[in-house]
Amino acid sequence: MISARLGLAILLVWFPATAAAEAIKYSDLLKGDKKLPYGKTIVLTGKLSELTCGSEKLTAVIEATAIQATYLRQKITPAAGTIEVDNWSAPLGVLPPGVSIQLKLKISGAISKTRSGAIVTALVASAQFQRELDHFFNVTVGKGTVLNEEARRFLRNLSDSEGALTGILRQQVPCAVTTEASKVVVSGLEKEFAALANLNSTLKDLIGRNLDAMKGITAPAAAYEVVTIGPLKASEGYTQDRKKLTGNELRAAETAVDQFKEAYEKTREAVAQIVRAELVQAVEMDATVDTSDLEKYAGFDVGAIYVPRIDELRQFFTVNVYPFGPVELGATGLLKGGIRSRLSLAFGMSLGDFSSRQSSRISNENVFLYGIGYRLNKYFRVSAGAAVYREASPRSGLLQEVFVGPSIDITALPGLRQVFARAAPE
Amino acid sequence: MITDIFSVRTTKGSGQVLCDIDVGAGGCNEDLKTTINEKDFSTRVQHTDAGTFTDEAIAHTESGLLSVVVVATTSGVSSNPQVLDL
Repeated sequence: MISARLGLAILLVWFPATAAAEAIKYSDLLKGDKKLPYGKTIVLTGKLSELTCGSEKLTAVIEATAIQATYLRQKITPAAGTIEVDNWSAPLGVLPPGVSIQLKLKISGAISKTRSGAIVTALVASAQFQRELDHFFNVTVGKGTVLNEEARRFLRNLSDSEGALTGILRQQVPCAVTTEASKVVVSGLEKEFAALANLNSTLKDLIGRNLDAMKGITAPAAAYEVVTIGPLKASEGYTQDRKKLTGNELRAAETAVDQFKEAYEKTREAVAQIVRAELVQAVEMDATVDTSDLEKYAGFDVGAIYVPRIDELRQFFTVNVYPFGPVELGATGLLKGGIRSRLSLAFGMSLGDFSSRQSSRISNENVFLYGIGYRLNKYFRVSAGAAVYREASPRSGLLQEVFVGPSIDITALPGLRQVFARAAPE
Repeated sequence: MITDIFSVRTTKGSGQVLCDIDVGAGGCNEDLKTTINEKDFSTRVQHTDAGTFTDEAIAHTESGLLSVVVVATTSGVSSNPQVLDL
């Protein structure tokens, strides 16, 4: 009997989700003034120049070649995005309604030339690099069989969790995931180990030529600048105490430059390729964003009412219709809208008394309710209005009494929220 | 006397380690020596004048990726170490 009445009271209206694609600017999401719509295929878009890596522009750190947007606990495999010059787009798929999702933007590419040069310079300047290099040559000079083993040990020590290179990568590529670069570095730099090991010696040999252009230069990146775009780009720049070098002196200086250039370029390229080849998901940017909840036309409440004049405390069911159009309940449970999103017209019925009353004035326990509901938050509401009933005595007409009472909107609960709802707004 | 040895290099498979040297006043007459795979290889260097001399060659019989230092036996000057693919 009750279930039949309940069935009459509940009118389920189902508005299935649509699947049209919608482009959302990533920058709008970061500002926090945009929600991701529910029920549509979302494509995030943006400009590489707007992305940051730590406090720097991403483009200063990474030469991005691939991008992918995903979110925590995503059930489908995320599709690859596209990059065209400065513009990128990345499909995110269809999102669930009314949830906070943690977005991850994964960008891969080689470290920029400037940044990888800075990494090489910082590495060579580190005390650990010099100490490990001295140890390496002390152990291997004149001997052959231990070189590969010592090279791996050298690279492992630089790139374990406490290693100099790991620390430098954290500093120079702050948005990269480099808790421990060991495997990556050992496999990536081993191929160009000779260049890395010789960088120090070739720089010392170059500095030892006492060229005017190299005065005061000690860092690899600065030295490389001098020999490529600075005065040593042409042989006319090879001077010592302002005297132009000729013959063997010029040839020896040019050889020193060539050897240093080769060691530097190979090392820098190997460092840059580490990220491209091995740390594909190294650069991640997280953002927590709410998706829009379903927009509700009405809610179905259960609660308790008190009718003071007849001293009844009764349970009740109501349908609460939002007269000013559909409202969004919000992901957090708190309401952002004004009074128009809180008010509803309440229609319902009461089927029984709560208060263990021996005899009720109400005929057959049936009470029709109408009134106004006021939502306190996503789930709870207070309603007030009139309870219409017929007295138990014969020949009684319909009577009305004021009621008031709290209720819970069960269609706001996760499993039922599509009742009386539609997908995200256009 | 040799005052500096630098730019130690090779071409893979050439059987030679090359380097450049600086020679002080009075020239030099001494051996340039390198130890590879625990074998010694050397070459005699004679120059009557001071200055820079290039492409001094030490013949060897070894191959592979190896750490190499070239030493002047009389003056005791040595090069910076290099990993060379011999």
